[in-house]
Amino acid sequence: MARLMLEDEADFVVVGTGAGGATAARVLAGAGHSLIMLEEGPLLKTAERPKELIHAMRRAMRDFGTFTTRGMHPFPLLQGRCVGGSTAINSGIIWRTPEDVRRDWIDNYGLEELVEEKGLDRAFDIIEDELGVVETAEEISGNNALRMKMAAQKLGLPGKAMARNAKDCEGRGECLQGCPGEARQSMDVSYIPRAMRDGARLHTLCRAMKVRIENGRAVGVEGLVLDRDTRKPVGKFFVRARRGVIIAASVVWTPVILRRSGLRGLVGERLQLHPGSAVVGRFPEPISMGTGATQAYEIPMRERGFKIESLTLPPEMLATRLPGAGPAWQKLLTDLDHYAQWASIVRMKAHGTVRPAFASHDADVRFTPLDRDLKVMREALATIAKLMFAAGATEVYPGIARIPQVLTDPSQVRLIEELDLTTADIHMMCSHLFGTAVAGRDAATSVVGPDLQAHDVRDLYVMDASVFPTNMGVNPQHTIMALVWRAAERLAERARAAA
Amino acid sequence: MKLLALERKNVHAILEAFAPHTATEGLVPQKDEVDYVEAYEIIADSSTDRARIGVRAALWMAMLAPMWMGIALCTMASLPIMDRARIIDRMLASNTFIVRELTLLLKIGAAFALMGSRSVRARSNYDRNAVKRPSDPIVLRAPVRERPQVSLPLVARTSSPGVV
Repeated sequence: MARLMLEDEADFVVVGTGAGGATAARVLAGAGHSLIMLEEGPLLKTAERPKELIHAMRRAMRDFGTFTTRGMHPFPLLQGRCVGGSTAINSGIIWRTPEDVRRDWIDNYGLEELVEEKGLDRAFDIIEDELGVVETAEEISGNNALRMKMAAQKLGLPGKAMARNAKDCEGRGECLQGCPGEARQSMDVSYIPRAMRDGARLHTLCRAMKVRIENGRAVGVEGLVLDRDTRKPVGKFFVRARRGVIIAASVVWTPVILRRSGLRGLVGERLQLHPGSAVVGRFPEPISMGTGATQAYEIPMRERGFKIESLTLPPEMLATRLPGAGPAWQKLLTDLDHYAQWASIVRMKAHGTVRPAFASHDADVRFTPLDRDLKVMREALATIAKLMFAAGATEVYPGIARIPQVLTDPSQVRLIEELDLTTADIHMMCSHLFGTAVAGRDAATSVVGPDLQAHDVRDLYVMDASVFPTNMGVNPQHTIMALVWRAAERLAERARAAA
Repeated sequence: MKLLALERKNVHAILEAFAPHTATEGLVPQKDEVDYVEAYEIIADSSTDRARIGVRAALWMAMLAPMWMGIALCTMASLPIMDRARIIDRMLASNTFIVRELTLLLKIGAAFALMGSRSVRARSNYDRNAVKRPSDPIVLRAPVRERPQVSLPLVARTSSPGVV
């Protein structure tokens, strides 16, 4: 490894440029503080982002989406690894914190000052205004979503158009590859440029390894500089923070950095997830999944513990999702414009853990769904299958082992409902993660306080979904941003007063 | 990932068998229209260390499938393409989780290779009714494999390879 050291210094150092880190940078730089953002991935300018899925995933997604939980039946945890983090690959879905979650965080975790209603609503209002949050219009929703709407109405389910931070969306279905018109306000095209206009500096290809702590106070971040192509370390860096270090490296990597820095206790505990699985349906008429917003319609069923979303698949993934191999598969591949895919996300009750992996830079993530969680997943998948038939699908591909791979009649949905579903039967993946550095008033049951400062280390803050005491049952990006907005505003005020 | 000659031969033989060029109906790629080995290598090279082991294990499992399935004493590459397709189809439907999952990894490689070919993607009709927008740019498509980017040199103090 090259011995060359990169050194820099600012009031605040922010690790991670996803929803949490970028919002912290936006607020603190906007308040006039000098700030350095550290990002492990590269900066991918919109025009340079490859449209071919294989290259798009290689460049923007962590490990091509192959980073998984450990155990007998692992499943992928999808994360962005570029400037903007996962906001650069997601669909920009916006949900305010549900009231029951907000109340729970106040009543059981003492987070009144962080999530009090007026203050939180004010943060939501500002963010929605700045990022152009609107409900997805029918004209750009695409048939994949409109079919779901039709089916939801038929079955009397509570569907709605998704709110997204993509006011000028043209419905290109290329969120994952990077919105070509920059309509989706991912952090790389919104808060990060804005923070930089306010004087923030951005160091890319810098993997934070640990926080340097002196006399009980965070004074900077140490790490490795990576090669752009091989991702192998080529140097080291140390960035000094005069007023505070903010870790916003995601629910997986934040606890890894904190543990490497010597923090223990509940760091890495209470990992919670919204794993998802999907069902594909074949229709007699063209659906043209590639035309329309990547995600546009949803059926929130929080009281049942799941949510159903329309989810456009690029042809590579759609082909993978169709059953079989050889001539039977080839027959299905000739009409790729005749398929729809809808996914479920389940608010699982199980708790997992995250630890630094032994003798590597990797993370060790353990998560095993409870029986109750799998029952909810089964209900969600059966509901999607019913919706598919209600929408006019002639064939439904549930993607579940031990039942037929092709369902051709609505009565066959009972095969899903009656199955004693196990984790070996389905393909799950997950992009909504929570916990691992939980916020709370009581230092014995949390890692950071209501101001998101670590209980054990002064001037060390965690500002991402790691601080969520529970999972939410809805998409977390907006709540991450609003919580961070409020915590960062207070931090900026305190720093100004101290100066 | 560096592939042995035997592995390279079998990657092609296995992945092309997902959609045999000898099929008479459906989406039939022409022989050598699709670069399967390249897709496999990109996926393997971009994966975590653990997933890379899985991708390689999948290759060896499929490569030796004719033997452990009691079909023939040879590797997949020695079998006619339709026989390979039948074996893969059986593996995808296996009751054993690990067999099914590793075969799915190979199917992902085959699907990425197939749909990564512009001509094959066009014949899949995925884009048949795609709406053209006035602001659609004229796209000069990148070659299948991106040209490797030159690493920026390290610069000492207050700068990094990716400093912006």
